[in-house]
Amino acid sequence: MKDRDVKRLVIWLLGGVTIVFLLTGFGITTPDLVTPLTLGVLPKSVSYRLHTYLWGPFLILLLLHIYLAQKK
Amino acid sequence: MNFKRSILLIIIIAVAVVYIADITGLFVKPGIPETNTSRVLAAVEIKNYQGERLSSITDFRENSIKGPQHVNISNYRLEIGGLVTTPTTLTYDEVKEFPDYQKVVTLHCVEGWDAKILWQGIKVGDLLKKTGVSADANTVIFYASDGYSTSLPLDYIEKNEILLAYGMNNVTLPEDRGYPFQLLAEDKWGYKWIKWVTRIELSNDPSYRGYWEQRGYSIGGDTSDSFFA
Repeated sequence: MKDRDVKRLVIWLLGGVTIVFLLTGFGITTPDLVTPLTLGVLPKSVSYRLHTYLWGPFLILLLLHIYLAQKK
Repeated sequence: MNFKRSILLIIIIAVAVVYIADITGLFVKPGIPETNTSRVLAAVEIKNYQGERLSSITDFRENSIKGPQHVNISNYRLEIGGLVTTPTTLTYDEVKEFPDYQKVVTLHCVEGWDAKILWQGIKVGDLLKKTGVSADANTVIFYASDGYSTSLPLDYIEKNEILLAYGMNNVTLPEDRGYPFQLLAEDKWGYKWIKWVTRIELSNDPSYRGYWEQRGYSIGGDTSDSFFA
């Protein structure tokens, strides 16, 4: 796998995790909106569980993204 | 590899290690003797009751105001006072001598999680029968060993046969779950489920605001309504 492919993979993964991280955060604070919006996939309890597990992948991918961006 | 990138790599590895330790439960809360905690007692708790799948005693999030309390049971006294006929002080064993009951009740936390548990306890109403209640009392205020407090209407306590729990899933209430007693405020948000109860006070002030109620949560605390006042 080329460096460019790794960078692209990290960008896409970070983008995905960021969206889920935000969505589950809103799923906790505004479940009345997020639960129907996700067709019942993200009720408050599921949002909470997912959100508490996502800080690690989010932070690691973000740091990895910065790390790869430093590479000339 | 330049210096900046080396530092970044070290931080990435450190974050990964902390994350793995966090999700696998390697962090042990300081200050809790590992004898009566949910981590230890989970091994012997029951998992099902009458065909119903129960949550585990480890499914709760630690969100108390000062962390888990260690109550020395030999010094422990439950005080019942305020607008009662006979102010009373009971030891742990004396409280447990009241008729015991059990029921499956789900705690709903304002944070979004919930836990369905088979609770064992005594009726708060039975305690109040012993002390007698003044005619003008309409509110029951509960105090805990960590300074926490909350209140519930006297009518609600009596009509719903609210329990003061000393056990969950057939094990003694773990220290980190409120040992010796936690209130089962059925159909109320989790902040009404006061742990480490030390005092019950009868009052005629229905607008009493406990710890979270002073910080914007509703006094009623019904799960059918928003928890914001």
